[in-house]
Amino acid sequence: MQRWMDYSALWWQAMVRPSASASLVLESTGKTGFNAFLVGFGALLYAFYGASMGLFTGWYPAVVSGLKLPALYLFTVLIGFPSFYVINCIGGPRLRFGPTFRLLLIAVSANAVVLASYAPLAYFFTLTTSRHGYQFLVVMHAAVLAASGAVSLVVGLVLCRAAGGTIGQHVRASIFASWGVLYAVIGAQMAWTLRPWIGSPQLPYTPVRSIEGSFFDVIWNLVNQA
Amino acid sequence: MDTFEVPPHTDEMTKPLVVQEAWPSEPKFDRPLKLPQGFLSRVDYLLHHPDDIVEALKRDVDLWALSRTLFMITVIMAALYGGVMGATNWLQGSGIPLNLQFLTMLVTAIKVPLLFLLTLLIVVPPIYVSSTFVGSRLTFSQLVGVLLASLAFTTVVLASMASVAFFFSLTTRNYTFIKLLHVAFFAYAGLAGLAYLVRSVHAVVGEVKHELWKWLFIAWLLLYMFVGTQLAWVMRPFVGDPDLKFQLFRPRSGNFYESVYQSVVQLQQDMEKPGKRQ
Repeated sequence: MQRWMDYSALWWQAMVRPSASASLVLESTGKTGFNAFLVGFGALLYAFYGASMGLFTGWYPAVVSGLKLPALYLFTVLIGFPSFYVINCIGGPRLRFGPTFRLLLIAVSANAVVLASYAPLAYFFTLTTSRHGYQFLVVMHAAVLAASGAVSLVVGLVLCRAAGGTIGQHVRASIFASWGVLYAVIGAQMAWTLRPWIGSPQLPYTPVRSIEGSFFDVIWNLVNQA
Repeated sequence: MDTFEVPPHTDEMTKPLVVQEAWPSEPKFDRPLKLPQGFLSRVDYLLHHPDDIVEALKRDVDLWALSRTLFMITVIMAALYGGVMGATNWLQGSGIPLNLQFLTMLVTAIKVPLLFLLTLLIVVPPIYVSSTFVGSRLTFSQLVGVLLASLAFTTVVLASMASVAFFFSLTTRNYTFIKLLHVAFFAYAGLAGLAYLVRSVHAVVGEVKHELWKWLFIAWLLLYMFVGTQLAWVMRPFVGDPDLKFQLFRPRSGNFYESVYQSVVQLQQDMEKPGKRQ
């Protein structure tokens, strides 16, 4: 228990001052527990927010969305990790394998914190919106997810610069941003694959829908309609 | 196993490269290049210590072991990406028979390393001969080493996108989209590899006074790119159109650039009429 308290203190320090948390990223000894803490605690925060999405349709969808949101971020990080590691070597601070993974976990946990801090408002809107408020909720959740994703990328960049030593100070934001675009695209496609999140009132609820089209089709149609 | 011992037959070679205290920014290379054991550790070494590899190429001593490692990295990383590329039909659940799906996967896993290595084989002689015209003292083993290093780097970058390609193959149903995705990933890896090549050639060759040198180098890069894309076009199919029957190589027609343009148009049509090819 005391260990977990220490971990959360360390972690909160990294959230508040990522520029002073280089040693948290770099030192590998005894950090397996901390990695597990990041994954576990992040998953809890994501689940808390995810449940507010499904609650629009009912209790069962709330539980399903609460389980799916941590999975969304975990899968996105795992799929994006090899390219992140290589970009970290090409134009980044050339961190080793373990520190790179921990940096990504800390950055993603910042995303979870921002989401969880918005969760009370999300619950409020979900519970006070009528069945006709579906479109509003879609836009709200998409905007909140995008904003929190951007926050986590900024935290990641600051950590990169702090942990990279002399090379790290010269890490260009554009290189980090190019990976950020890839991360966003993977995340969006993953979200599309794991839909429904809120549950459209026009369609019968299923935990997962069949694979058809892609996130890009949706964007394309939106652009064409506009 | 693969250490770079300095042969003791000349004074020049045995002279140790000692880093002086007054120049702490100089690359630290007062020892023979020692590659770590294990394949993945070597891939990691290639990514983390480009300066050491350039330094070893500069010294031009026993490049065989280094070249062999770079060759292995190229083959395995390219085969990994090729396997994912060829698995598209299987991942997308297209209607073609299962044994042909696995055959495509196997064939592409062989084709992609072959594509990179054949391109290297074609461009090495003209590059080596023309480099002597402008008076660069690049030896043949140095040239092959530099090109192999950039090739290994290219394939590592490409293989880092394999997980992304795998995910998109699994979660989309559009052949044209996947094809263009692979073109984009190859372009990204190719550009990263070219940047690596430019840096390492400049470091290994040093300053060449000849005024044609810069243009010759640009000509090399263009030659490399055009040979690569043309060879890729000749060796297609890599992904395998689910509407066409299985072929080891397709009959020669059209060219790469025309095909990319047509794919973009096709994708636009697919998006406007969903359900037609999805």
